[in-house]
Amino acid sequence: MGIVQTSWLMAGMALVASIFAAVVSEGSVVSLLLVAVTVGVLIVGLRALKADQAILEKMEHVAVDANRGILESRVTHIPVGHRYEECAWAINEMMDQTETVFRDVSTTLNRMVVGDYGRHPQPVGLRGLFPEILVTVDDVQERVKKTMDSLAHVMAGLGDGDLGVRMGDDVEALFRDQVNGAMVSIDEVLKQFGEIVKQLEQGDCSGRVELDGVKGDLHQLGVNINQSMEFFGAAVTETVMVAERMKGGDLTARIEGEFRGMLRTLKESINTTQAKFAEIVGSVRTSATGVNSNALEVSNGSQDLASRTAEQAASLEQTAASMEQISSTVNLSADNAVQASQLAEDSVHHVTEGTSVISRAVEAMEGINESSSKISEIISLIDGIAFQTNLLALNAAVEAARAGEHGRGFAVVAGEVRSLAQRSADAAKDIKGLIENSSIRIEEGSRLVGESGKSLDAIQNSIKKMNDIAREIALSAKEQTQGIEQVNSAVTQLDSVTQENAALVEETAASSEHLSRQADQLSEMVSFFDVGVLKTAPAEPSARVKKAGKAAPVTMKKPPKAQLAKRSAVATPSADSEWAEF
Amino acid sequence: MRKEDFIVSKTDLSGRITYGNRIFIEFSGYTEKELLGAQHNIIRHPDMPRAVFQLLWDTIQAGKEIFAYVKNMSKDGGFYWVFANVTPSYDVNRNLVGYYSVRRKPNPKAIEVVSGLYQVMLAEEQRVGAKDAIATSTQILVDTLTEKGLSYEELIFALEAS
Repeated sequence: MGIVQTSWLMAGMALVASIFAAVVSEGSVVSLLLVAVTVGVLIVGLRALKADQAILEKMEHVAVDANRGILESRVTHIPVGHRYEECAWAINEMMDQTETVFRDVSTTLNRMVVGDYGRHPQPVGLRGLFPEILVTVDDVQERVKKTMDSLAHVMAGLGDGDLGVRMGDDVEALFRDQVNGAMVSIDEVLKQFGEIVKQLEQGDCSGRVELDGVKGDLHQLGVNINQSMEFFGAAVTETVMVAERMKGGDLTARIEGEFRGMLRTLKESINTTQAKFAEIVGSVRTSATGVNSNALEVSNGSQDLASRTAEQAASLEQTAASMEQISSTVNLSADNAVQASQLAEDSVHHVTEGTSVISRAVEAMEGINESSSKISEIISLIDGIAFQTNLLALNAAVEAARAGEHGRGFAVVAGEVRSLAQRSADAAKDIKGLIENSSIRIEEGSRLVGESGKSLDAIQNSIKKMNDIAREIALSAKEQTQGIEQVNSAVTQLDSVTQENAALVEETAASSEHLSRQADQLSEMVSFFDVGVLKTAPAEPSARVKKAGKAAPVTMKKPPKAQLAKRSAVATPSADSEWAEF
Repeated sequence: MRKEDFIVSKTDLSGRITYGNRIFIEFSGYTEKELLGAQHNIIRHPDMPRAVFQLLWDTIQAGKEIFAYVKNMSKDGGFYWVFANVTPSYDVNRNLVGYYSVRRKPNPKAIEVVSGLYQVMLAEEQRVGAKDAIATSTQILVDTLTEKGLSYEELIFALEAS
């Protein structure tokens, strides 16, 4: 029941009591007075009750609001001096204190909620327990601030990757221990992670995270890491095993484990590599065998070639020598032919000269013949003269005789003249006979000379022909010489080529031997590997090649003119057969 | 003001007083009847720079609380410094319905600093005239804060704690 209602009830009860008092009392005036007083009292009482009711209603309103959690309401227009004035103000002040504290705490907390710890509660002016709660709030705020600062410090450290950060001692122990404990366990687990990764870096996959006391995601992370290490370790171990077997030449080993991702790729790569490698080794083995037998053939061929080349070189040398002989002989022939030609020419010249001499002799004989005729005429003349002289001398002698003594000398001279004339006539006669004889002989001589001329002409013709032949011989000899020279230079070239060939053959022999040895080594090396079921021909023994020995080096007395300079230009012998037919 | 004194007053949104406690009545020199319904600036002292009230109203109208040192004038012309805190009041539906002010006894050291600052601000307000008064004097406050590297509230709390 409300205070106001109670007041009214009390006033009513007072009124009823007054009337009852008046009725039971004996005197009517007194009774009336009493009633009047009572009514007066009642009126005053009613007015007071009304005022009371007003303030009481206000106070009740404030109280009811407060009861509903509304702290805003206050009692206003409080009558000064009213008996409830103090009470009303007390209610107001209580509400002031309450609302102020509420607002202060609320504002401070609202700001704390958004991380603002700069708003301090204001306890000044508050009374009793009210300031205490604000002091407590401020203290809480301070602690939360410190905790949050410390937490922020830890978080910043975490953000910077520093797991050594811890909350300070000024933070509430419970919270601090929780956070620091969490940090320690994270730190420890991460250190373990670090240790494991470091071990991994050192190639050790055996590290595991100790998961005792580790919870939640960290535990799961640890489990994952351990599992990863397990997988990784298994993969590495298996890979190592395969590699070890590979080292031992066993190419049949394969990684069998079930892996994912890159490990699976690694596994597949290694397995594929193994298979490929085995394949290659097989191929190499086959190839090496082939190379070996080929090298052997080449080596053998080189041997044959070497010996044939040597023979060839010797033949060439002989040929060269023969050619030189032929050359000198031909040169001599040529010289002789030239000389013969010269001689023939000389002979022709001489014969020509002879012919002209004969012609001239014939002419001369004819001239002699003519001269003989003239001489005959002259002799006839002389004879005539001698006859005349004789006659004269006879006459003179007659006369001299007639002249006697004087005439005797004369007669002697005349006799002498007469004998001379006689002798002249005799001589003329002789001469005439001689001349006649001479003419006959000259005629005979002319005929012979004419015949000689004809012979000489024939000789000249023969000599000319001979000369031509000699010239031809000389020309031929010259050509022959040139031919021989060409042949000679060809032989020389052939010689140097043969030298080069010999050197090449030697090299080829050495190379093929080397190749064969290498093929052998390769075969040997490759035979180290076990490639499983792959079938390959067995490697040829290298002894055959070794048995063949080193190709005999071809030596020549004459140093090659162009020692291997034109090696590249020299055709490499391709097959034995070609050389056999060379 | 006395250490235990604690002025509480309420206004509606327009600044009309809806409640004042007995300390308020005592210090203002007005009766409750006179105060109720009156504008809160009934106790404003002419030494107060207008910029401070501008800041106060801007802040509380934005729904935030504010602390401020205020020089109040009582009915008899006397003055008293208070350390005021004004918070917005909301009804149950979170509607802003008025303001709640608690005024405490300020730290005297703070008053020394603040009164000097207010004097400068006021002088500047009077110098530049009504039109630019608030802007100019606000700038002085802002410059002071910038110089000290503090927010307004940090300055207030620092002064109060000094």
